Amino acid sequence: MNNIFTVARKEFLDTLRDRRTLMMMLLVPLVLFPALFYVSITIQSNQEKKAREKKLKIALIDNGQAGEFRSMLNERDDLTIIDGIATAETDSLIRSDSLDLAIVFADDFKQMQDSLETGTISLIHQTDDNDRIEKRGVELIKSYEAQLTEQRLNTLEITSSNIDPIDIDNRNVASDREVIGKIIGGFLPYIFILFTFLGCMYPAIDLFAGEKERGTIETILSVPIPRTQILVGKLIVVATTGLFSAITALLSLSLSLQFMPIPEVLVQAVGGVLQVGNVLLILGMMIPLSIFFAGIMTALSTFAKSYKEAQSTIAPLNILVIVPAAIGLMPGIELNFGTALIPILNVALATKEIVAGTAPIGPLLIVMVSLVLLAGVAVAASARWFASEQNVLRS
Amino acid sequence: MIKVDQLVKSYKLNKKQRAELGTLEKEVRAVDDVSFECEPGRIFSLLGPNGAGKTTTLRMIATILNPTSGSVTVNGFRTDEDPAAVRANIGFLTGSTGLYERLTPNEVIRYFAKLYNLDGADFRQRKERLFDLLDINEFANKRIGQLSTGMKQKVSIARTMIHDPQVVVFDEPTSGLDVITAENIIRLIRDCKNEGKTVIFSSHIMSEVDLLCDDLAIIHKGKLCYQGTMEQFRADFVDRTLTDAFIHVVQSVPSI
Repeated sequence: MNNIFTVARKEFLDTLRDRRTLMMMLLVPLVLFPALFYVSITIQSNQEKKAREKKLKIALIDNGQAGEFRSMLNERDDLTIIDGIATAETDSLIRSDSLDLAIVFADDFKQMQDSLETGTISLIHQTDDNDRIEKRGVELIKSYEAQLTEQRLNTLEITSSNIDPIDIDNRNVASDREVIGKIIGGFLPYIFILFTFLGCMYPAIDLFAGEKERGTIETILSVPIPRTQILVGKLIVVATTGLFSAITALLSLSLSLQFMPIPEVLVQAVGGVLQVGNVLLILGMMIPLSIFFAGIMTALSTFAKSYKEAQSTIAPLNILVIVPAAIGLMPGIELNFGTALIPILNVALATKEIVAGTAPIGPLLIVMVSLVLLAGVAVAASARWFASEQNVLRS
Repeated sequence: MIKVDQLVKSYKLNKKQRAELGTLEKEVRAVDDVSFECEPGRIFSLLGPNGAGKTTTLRMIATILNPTSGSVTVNGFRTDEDPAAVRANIGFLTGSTGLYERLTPNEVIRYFAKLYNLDGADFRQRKERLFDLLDINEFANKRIGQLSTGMKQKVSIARTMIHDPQVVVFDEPTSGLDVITAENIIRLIRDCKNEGKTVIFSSHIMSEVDLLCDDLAIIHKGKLCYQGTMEQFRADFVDRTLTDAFIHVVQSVPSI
């Protein structure tokens, strides 16, 4: 045991002095990742705010049909009415951003209203990724429609309840925590699975293939302690680095959320996620997960002839990790006895459920047990590869 | 004391390796039935051209590789029965044995001492002696990556000797070193002999062999093709230079 700690302590020291590992372990999760997140959220919310507050340029082509609608628009200060534009010009003017919307009244609009028929108003817009402007146009017309409806009801001498026989009382029994939990709960494992992977990667390469490349492997193999103890000492460092990098990413993200322009309810939901029980359950998955990654990467790194070879073998595995984690983000895929057995995906789904507070005990236990088993298999594989003289001395 | 008895190391060849080596054999013998003994207080030199099987033999002595058959006994411990005891008795240094570049000499020596189960006063005493002897003190707290090749070599020597091994194994210890740095190693080998340790080293530099060696064995293509004392070798080839004699012995082995 003492030997394992001696090896682990030395490898920690060595790893903490490696710039590449430090970057991956600290700088990326602590600074770069929240910064990127912050920038993208800020840009997105600024864009939306801009679209919401923008003074709209609306071409109103009414042929004298608009009447009250025109005076309604005149009262608002978040738009400008532009007259004198021909219907044929609207499309090109909107495409060139000279106009935001065109509202065109049908020639018979008034007549249709007078005869209590349906009149047509065309709303012309250019909507690709942001539908905020279209929505504002629709809202304007809807509020005009409400006015017209009221007038008609008065004319017909009926009340609104006469034509509205059903009132839907829509009640969602899912709590805020469940709804928001499923959203951020899908995102959370994506982050920690990815960062556990990245955090394990460089030490795994450095402590095995790197040791071969620098010619220190023979030196360490000539000491009178069993090879498995050397391996376990190194594995502890690789797994801890992965775990540490994932925890750093999660902590820095949850801290930086406080400073981001996101709804208060989301911030509260994140706070709700960070309850002791949840954190322990998630850690309970992250620990075997990082040992599993460490075992696999160590086996591959032991086999590789050089740092570069190890890097080109291990880095592409990223895809194998990201894809199941991303599938876990999709709605409709839930944790059950089947999905609990699919590595990585099970972690993603279980986290989602834990965060939402709806984790089913049976499948959750299966996830935990299968993770521990997988970690054991990965460590056994790495021990086997590390014990093989052909692998260790392969050059 | 090292006793090597009918030592064999063979490797299975896959298709690609067979094509590369131009052979139809399914197996290659890197070391083929090699036996010799190294006595305490004497320097044993293992000679042979590149690829002869020197490194493989020394690695089997140091328990880094397992023999296919035959046995190695180091200071009374068999490598297959008690590898940890063998390793505890051996100091192993190769031309390519690297050091941890991000650590300092102090940290590296402390690390290895711990792994050799060397503690407290014993460790301090031995470290002090080696650091004084090799002039390591002035750079003992600098990262090894920042040291010159000569300085690194000195730290490697201290690392090899920190547990006071009774048997020292050197695999081409001076390869790639300049003469001044190589001189450190030559002095170390001599000191080991004077202290009554068993020394085995491999080389293909005949001047080094001439300078140091008491007994020698020449291997070629995995087989032992000469074994005797240095005096006997000189007497056997009295009309040749040492290099000539070495080439003669190697070339007289029938090609396989």
